[in-house]
Amino acid sequence: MKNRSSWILLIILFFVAGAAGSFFLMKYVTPLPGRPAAVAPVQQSVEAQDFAAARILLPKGKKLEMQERKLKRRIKSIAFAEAVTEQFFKEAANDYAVPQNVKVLGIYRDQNQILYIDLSDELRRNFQGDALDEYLLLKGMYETVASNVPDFQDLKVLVEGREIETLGGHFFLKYPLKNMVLPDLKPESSPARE
Amino acid sequence: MWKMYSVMRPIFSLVCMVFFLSSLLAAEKTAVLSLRYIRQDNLVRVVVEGEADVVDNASTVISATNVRIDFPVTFELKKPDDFIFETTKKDRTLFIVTKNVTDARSYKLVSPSRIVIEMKTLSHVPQGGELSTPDAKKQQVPPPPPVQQASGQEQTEPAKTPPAAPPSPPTAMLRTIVIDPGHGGYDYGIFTQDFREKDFSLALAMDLSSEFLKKGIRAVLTRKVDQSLPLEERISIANARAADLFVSVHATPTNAFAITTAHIDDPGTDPVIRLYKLSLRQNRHLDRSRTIARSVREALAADFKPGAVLRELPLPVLSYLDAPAIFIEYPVTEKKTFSLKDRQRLINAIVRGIAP
Repeated sequence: MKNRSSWILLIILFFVAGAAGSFFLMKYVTPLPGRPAAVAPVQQSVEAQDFAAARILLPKGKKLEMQERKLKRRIKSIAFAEAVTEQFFKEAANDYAVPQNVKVLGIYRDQNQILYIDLSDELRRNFQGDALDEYLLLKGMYETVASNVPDFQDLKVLVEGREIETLGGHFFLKYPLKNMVLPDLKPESSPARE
Repeated sequence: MWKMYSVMRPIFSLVCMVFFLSSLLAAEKTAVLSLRYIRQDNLVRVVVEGEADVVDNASTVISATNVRIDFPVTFELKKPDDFIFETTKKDRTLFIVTKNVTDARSYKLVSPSRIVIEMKTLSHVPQGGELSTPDAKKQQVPPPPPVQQASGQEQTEPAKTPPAAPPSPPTAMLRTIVIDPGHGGYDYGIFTQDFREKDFSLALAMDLSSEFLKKGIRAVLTRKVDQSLPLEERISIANARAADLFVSVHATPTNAFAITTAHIDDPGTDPVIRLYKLSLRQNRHLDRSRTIARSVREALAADFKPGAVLRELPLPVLSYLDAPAIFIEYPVTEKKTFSLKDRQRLINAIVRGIAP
């Protein structure tokens, strides 16, 4: 009987010690808002919430290369799609075949969840590539949007608000891109490889 | 007890006998089918002959890899030892594995009842259905077994079946080639100060067409002047002409030639729909397209450094084509364009690759 009471006492003591320890930690160790030491971490966490990691797939040589960039977070996914497309053209323009100075004029979504990216005429005027370059440009643009914006079914490119037949004379631009750019290509074979 | 046994014994024997007889009666009859074939250049005609009720109730399905014939009964197949295709028998179904076959059709004929399957092969197909190598082509091919002449479409002229079938090159049977000079009109393609892809491709296509004409091959150009031509029209022209080959000529801003064939990858599509989907029309010509692309690549590599690469891309002018189709890209850079001499070498190499 005596033994039992001492066990109960020990458990109560253990809980009281735990509660006291937690109170001490909460009060003295965890920084409170308003205290100078606590300002920096809070700002950091707000900043982290304001930016989102965007995956940009850039044409490099004969393939696409994924790079991560921090872009300002947008509430609407369509605004984020616009931001990643702008970033895509900004960075991809380093590649010889990607047209320079392409501007995103607007992004719209229809009721079938098809995303329309309206680009400036520089896309067509400044394109100087072959079939593979054109394919990688379209695939890179599609994959960039697809890896950052989840809620769309397909993507269609407009130039100056209008539907055009082709970008560089090799691939259709009058149809949505998904079916065309989704397959993974086989690596090209040169005589040396065979 | 003994009495009961003596009553039951004849009943038991009777039951056993009924079972035995019914099993004999129920046993399926086995049909005897004979298979024979005839080969003429790249056309192989396979004839499966049997009793009328068996052949009439058989159904034939031709797929990309085999011909499947479902018979109403089990069968025993008699075929020549040198039959060029592999056959598999499974229950009531006969599979003929059609390797290197580009096109096939089947029909039934009567008196005697038979199923005829006509197959267009890539090239000369020796034993085992493998495509012959150049060395193998030099060897004498055994004469095809005699075929009983029958009525209708199956009949062939004996004079047309030589004892040794001459090996046919991968690009044999070229009658019409559609050449598509890329770009045109407001679409310049790649351009530098003194080079415009649309003009050079047109000139090259015209020269190629004259060279093919010299070889007795009819060449049709999708455009003969500097005009803008939508991709769909280029496809329509080639399909309407029932071309044996489609060649699209373009430029690439790299150092090497690129020969592209269609990349067809549509795993979500139903196999039956795949046969009819317009964007997958190239599917059944892919092997031949690749053979021609390799041949052109070799011809270019022999004359130009650093040669040519083979690519596969889902290009609409290839995927929608109902004929073998290749896409040739010649290298153009700021510093290097083709001189007249180089242009002639280029034309000769392409012609040599397509029609050696």
